[in-house]
Formats: sequence, C-alpha cells, structure tokens
Amino acid sequence: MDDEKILDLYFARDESAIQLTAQKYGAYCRAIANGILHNREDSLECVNDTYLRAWEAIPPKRPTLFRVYLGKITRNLSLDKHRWLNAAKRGGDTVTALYGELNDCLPGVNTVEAETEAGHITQTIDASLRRMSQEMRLVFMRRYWHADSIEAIAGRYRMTEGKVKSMLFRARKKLKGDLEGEGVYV
Amino acid sequence: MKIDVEKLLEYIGQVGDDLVLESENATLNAQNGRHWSYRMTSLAAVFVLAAVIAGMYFLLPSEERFGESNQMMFSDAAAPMAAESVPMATPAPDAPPAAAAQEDNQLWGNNDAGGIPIEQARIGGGAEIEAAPPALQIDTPFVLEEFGAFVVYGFGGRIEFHTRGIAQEMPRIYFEGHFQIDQLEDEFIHGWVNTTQDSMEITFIVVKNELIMERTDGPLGMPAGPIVIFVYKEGAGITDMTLHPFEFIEFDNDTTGTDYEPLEFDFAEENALAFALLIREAERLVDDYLNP
Repeated sequence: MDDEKILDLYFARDESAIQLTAQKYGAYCRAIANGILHNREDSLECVNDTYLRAWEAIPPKRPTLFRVYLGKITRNLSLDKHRWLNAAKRGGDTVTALYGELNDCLPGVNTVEAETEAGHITQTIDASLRRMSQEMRLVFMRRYWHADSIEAIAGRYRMTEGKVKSMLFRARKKLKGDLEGEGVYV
Repeated sequence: MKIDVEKLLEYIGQVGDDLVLESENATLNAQNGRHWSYRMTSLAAVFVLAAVIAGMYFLLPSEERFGESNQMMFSDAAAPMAAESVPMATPAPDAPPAAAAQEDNQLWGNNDAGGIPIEQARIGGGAEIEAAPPALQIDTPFVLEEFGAFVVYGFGGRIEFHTRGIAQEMPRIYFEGHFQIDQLEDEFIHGWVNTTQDSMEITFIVVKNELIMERTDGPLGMPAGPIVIFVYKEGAGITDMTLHPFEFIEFDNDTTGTDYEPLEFDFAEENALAFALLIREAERLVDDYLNP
C-alpha cells in the first residue's frame, strides 16, 4: 500500500493505519532505533512510541515524506531514550528524577526565541551538509543521522574503514567551522 | 551560543528530508565523476608519501644512523638510477654494511614477527615498487615543482604544499624503509607504516593542496621520533612549503576505534628544541644533497 493510502487511513482514524505502518516501515524504524540504542527491547519500545506519535500527529499533519517523517520521530525518541538511560547510569533514578523536577524550573524550551535559534542551527547544519561533496555528506548522514557503524558505512559504500573515519573527521571539522562561523559552539 | 553534543545530534536529525532520502538511496561510485585535479593531487601525494617513507628512516634512534642516512638513501643498488635521473645528486658510493641492513630489518619489523616484507610493497595496486634492498626505488611521476624538506615529529599533521603545474620531467626518489600502501583511491592514500615501536595504520588524505596524515588505527600513544619528508625536483629551490602545527588523533580503548577526537599538540611547549634541531638537520641534508 502506498503512503498516501496509509495516510488516508490515519485521517479516517482507522487503526489499521498503524498496523500497515508497522508492516511497511517497522524494520526501517527498528534499524534506526537499534543503531542508537543497541538494545532490542528499548528499540521496540521506541518504535511503538513512534507509531503512537504518528497517530497523535496525523491529522492534522500530513507528512510529505512519510518514511522520513517516521524515521525522524524514531530517531528523536531513541536519542531521548539513550539520554535517559545514560542519566540513569550516571546518577541513578533519584538524580534522574531530580533533574526531571528541576527541569520544570528552567525557562521553557519552546519559546519563540529557542525555536528560532534551533531553526537557525538546523539551517546552518543543513547548508553545511549541502556544501560537502556528496560522498562526504552520505557518509556523514549514515553515521550521524542513521547511527550506522563505521564498518557498516564502509561496507555500504565500498570504502575502507580508515577512509570512512577520515571523511568523518573532515566532515566534523567542516561542520564545526560552519557552526562557529554562525556563532554556535559545541 | 553553546550547544552540547546531544543537542547537535537532535539538530542533525532535523536536516532536510531530501538529505535523509539521499542517504538512504544514493550509491557511490568513487572512481567515477572525480575531477582530474583530484587524481593529480593523488599522484602528487604518492610522491610525497614516498618521501615520507624516506624520512621514516630517520625514526631510527641512533644518531649515528641519522648522520649517515644521506648515504643510505643512495646505496649501490639505487645509485645508477639516481645518477641518471637526478644529476645534481652525488650518490654515496658505499652500500650500507650487511650488519646495518640486518639491523634495519629488525628495526623496521621486516621479519617474521609481523613486519611487512619489501616484496609486498605496492602503490595503489598499480605501480609496483621494485624491491632492490637495501634501497628501494620508486618510479612514479609527480607534479610538484618545489623542493623542500620537513621533519615531522610523531604521526599526524598537515602539510601544505603548492604546485605550479605538472612537471615535464619525471624525477625519481630513492628511499630506505619498508612499507606497504594498500589502497589508492582518489584523494586518499591508505598506508601501513612500520615504526620501531609498533605497526600502525595511517591514512594520508590529500585535499587540494593539503596533505593530511592521520593516524587511524593502532596502539595508544604516539611513537617518538622524527619523520623527514623530502619533496624535491631537480633545479628547484626550497619554496612555498608550510608545516602546520599538528593535530594528533588519539584513540581510546573502544575496540571499534571510532570514538576518537583530535588533540591539539603544542610544539612550542613540548618539543620545540627537538623540532628545531631536526629541522636544522633536515636542512643540512637537503643542502648536502643540492651541493654535494
């Protein structure tokens, strides 16, 4: 079934949309989640949450590229999960809870200013990637968007692992330079 | 504004959908579609790489050996070719003693304990290096017109070199040392170099006029010792070469070898004197070479 028909089912609030989404893009989303989390259970949890998020957001949203839309949700959820797991490892549940509580005291991240800044940074990254050679951009995206291993990237593009590492090194330097040029420091 | 890495990852996740799609669907054919200049710089890098290896000889710890290296570079086996192609040079008449050659083999790891045999030495899967122990000969055209020498302390770093078109002549370079280049693809030259300490992997990257030597694998820490890099062409003067401060790549214990960060290396604080001495020595060797 093509994406438009699946999206129609979302708009019709037909729950089979989720099942069809899972059939078509489940493996794709699991690969993204597993690339970040390296844990089957956690990955499945993120993928299931992805379906839920999609169900909640569609409608009114109607993504142009449904596959990428799902991938982005999965990636964000996986990063959140990874961050939470690491925080738990570092400080235990108590500290994690404290962080969570204190987080409420901080200025909201969804302010217009914060969103503008986020948009600016994203645009800078986007532009920087577009200025890279396609080869470098692909390697960068496979590594830092899809969280592929160096070995997997090397296999995918028939490169040596050394070459992949070197390209990533150069790509990071380029990106760093572009970000700093815009006053953003990592 | 300062952002942390996690935020950066989030922002990367928000780049254009077309970029994501491209990364999922695009295939690469690294050998096609490259601009000729990339190939030419690769060729230049082959030469520089050979020169690097020539300099590897100077990794040997003995000062005595360091002092006689000029002779070693032009041993009997290579001397006729040197005389033919680089008339300015006066090859040293004496071949290194057998004991020294044997010591070389041990120091360079050219033995059963994991060293790389000379016979395996090969460039880019194409031009084969004729094994003529104790000196090796590389017969590769190069495009540099400058002459110069560098001393690089440790591994990693960046050398800027400028070209002025393609040389009409095809100089030759002679060097001592054992090495293997296992891949040459576009702007990348992938090489293995044996040092007196350990075998390690170094990736040589050529981007336009820059040659970047990046250690991409191997044991922790850096090997001590200079690498002398010779880039020369008959009749040319020492011009337009810049040695930049180095950025070393340090690996952690991550077995995947992927989690590494460049480290700034402060020459001024740690090795200024040694570096200056080595530069002076290199200049002396170059001067001897030009004015025998």
